[in-house]
Amino acid sequence: MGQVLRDMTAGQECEAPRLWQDAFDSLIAPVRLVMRTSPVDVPPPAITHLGYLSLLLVEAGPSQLSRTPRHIARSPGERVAVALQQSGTALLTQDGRSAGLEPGELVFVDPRRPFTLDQRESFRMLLVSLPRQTLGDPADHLFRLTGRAVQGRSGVVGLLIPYLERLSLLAGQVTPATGDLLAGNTVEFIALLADELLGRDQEPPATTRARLVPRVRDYIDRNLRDPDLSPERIAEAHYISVRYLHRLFEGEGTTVGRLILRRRVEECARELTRRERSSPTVSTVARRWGFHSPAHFSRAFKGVFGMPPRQWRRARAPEEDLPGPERPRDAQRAAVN
Amino acid sequence: MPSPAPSRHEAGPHLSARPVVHPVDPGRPPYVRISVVPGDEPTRALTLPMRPADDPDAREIMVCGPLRGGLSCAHEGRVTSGGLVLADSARPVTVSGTAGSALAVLRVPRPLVPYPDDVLVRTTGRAYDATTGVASLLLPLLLSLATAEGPWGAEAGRDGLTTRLMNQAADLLTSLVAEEAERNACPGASGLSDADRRAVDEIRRWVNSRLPDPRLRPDAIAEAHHISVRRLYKLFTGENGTLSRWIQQRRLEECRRELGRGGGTAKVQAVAQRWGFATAAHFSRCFRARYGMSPSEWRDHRTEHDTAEATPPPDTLQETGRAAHLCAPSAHW
Repeated sequence: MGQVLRDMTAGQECEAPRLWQDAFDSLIAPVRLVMRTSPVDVPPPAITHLGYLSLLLVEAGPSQLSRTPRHIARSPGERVAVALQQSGTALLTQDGRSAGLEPGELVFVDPRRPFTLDQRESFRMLLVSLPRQTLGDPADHLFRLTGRAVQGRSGVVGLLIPYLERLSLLAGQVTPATGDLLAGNTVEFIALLADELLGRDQEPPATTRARLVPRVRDYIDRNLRDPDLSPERIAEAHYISVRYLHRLFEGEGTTVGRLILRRRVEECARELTRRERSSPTVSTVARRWGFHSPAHFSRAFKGVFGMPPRQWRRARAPEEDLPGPERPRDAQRAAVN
Repeated sequence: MPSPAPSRHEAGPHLSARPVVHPVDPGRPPYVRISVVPGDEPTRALTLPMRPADDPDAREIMVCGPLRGGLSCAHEGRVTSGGLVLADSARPVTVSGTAGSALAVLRVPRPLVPYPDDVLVRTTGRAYDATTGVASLLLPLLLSLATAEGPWGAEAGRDGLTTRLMNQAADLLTSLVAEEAERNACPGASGLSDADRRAVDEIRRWVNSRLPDPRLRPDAIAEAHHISVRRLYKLFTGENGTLSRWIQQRRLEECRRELGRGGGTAKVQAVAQRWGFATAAHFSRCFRARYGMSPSEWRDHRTEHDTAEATPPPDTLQETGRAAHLCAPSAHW
């Protein structure tokens, strides 16, 4: 469709040809379109439809597209658009934000509120429009997504952009029935991007929480002695991210780090109260459970039980005769505690 | 010898991280999975299905794609080649890829593909050209999802996101089957003139954009297009059936799409009401007649499930063992 037009900044501004206006009007919403090139050089827009989805491939010289409050008053706009910049740079302004659009970046456009799209140079842009109600829940939160260029090769956008580009190539070649299905597939993909950007997907659902939290706790218990046990290790073992792990525990009244610490202290306490013929020293027990610094262990222990380890041990086993050889060092440590 | 379970150290040259294999949870309905078969044999031939065909519950529709190069597919004496293979676990195929390439396999439980067996017979057991049509959309997505870290970043295990992406792949598989079924069913153009064809396309688009509208009746549609109801009916007779039936089918498809977004929050009652069904019971009947399951069953199939575990509890070890076998070369070669 069309050739790339040269930037004719010397040319005059003129209202875009009827075909272009109509294309935008029907596919997205009534807008004012101004092109800084002579109308005779502007080729017709390439429009394809897939079910209720419309794809508009725009290739032109410097242009400005604006939707004003007057446009909105005349027709509110039942469709929503995703604009994918393919060449040239643009500036899109909506909802008080301005986004510079580079090739390979996309932006959500909501015609319910005013916006301007300023293509500074010759450009190519793919616009995908869909009925607002097909988007479902994200449609009510678009004001959080507008005016922001979405880029990158990671996340849903890294999957969606190549998909949209391929879609625009095959759209004219599929049957209407296939088009109907692809329209639905594409809307779901766009809604998924919206949900990801809105942070919706990061909320662990209750069912997952109910399953994963006990498993994480169990994993912690089984690996307490491992000095490398950390949120990073736990997350990796469960194929989740550290951030997700922390979110899981938000409802648990503790953090993963604190939980590990507390469980270790508890296990130490259990060992310290065992009545054995040769009870190990506090420092031995502590080291066994991953505490290398006596001061750190003492602090942690106090945090859980309200008193230092030795005091706790004595309180639990007042009659027990602790082995002799340890005592002089114990006395020294007691001073530290 | 095949190693017991996929691990990150097994990744071949074109896999960036551990393959994503979700163990089966016996208590939940079967769901969409992606497995990766490492490509270490120069003359690798993979037999699909990768699970015993005598397990009726395990029937799956699969798409197999090579991480690089092409594929050929042998089925009932016929060999086809292309960019991806569509297969039905009830009718095994042998797939050979470019030497050394790992294969990504998308596995969708049969009940989630809403087409009858005769359609599946016509469309599965062969390779497809992945440079055009729905195949050209599905293959890149499958390959991205199969390389576990994928472009969506190292945060594998963000349940909702992963599940929805898997569902996205399953939906494209369904569209691929539909596309091919239609191609088989009506190879020639209909009897409509070009002008009539354009009129039909325009009306379809108009109706498609207004599906939830209860005023969408033949007289209103005809009026909006400045034609008589009789002409409208004439335009819509033929292989597509009547206009009203088509509208009903499109509405059901949209209901299925809405419920299929998962998350467990969509209420069947609310969907039925919004789409103009007299009662939820009536909606469920229509849905079940078309899709072979109730709306809530469908919704539950599409909802988040758990991520893989590092140390699965004993009752799933067997399953994991079997799953591992599925990803390993089969013994006979």
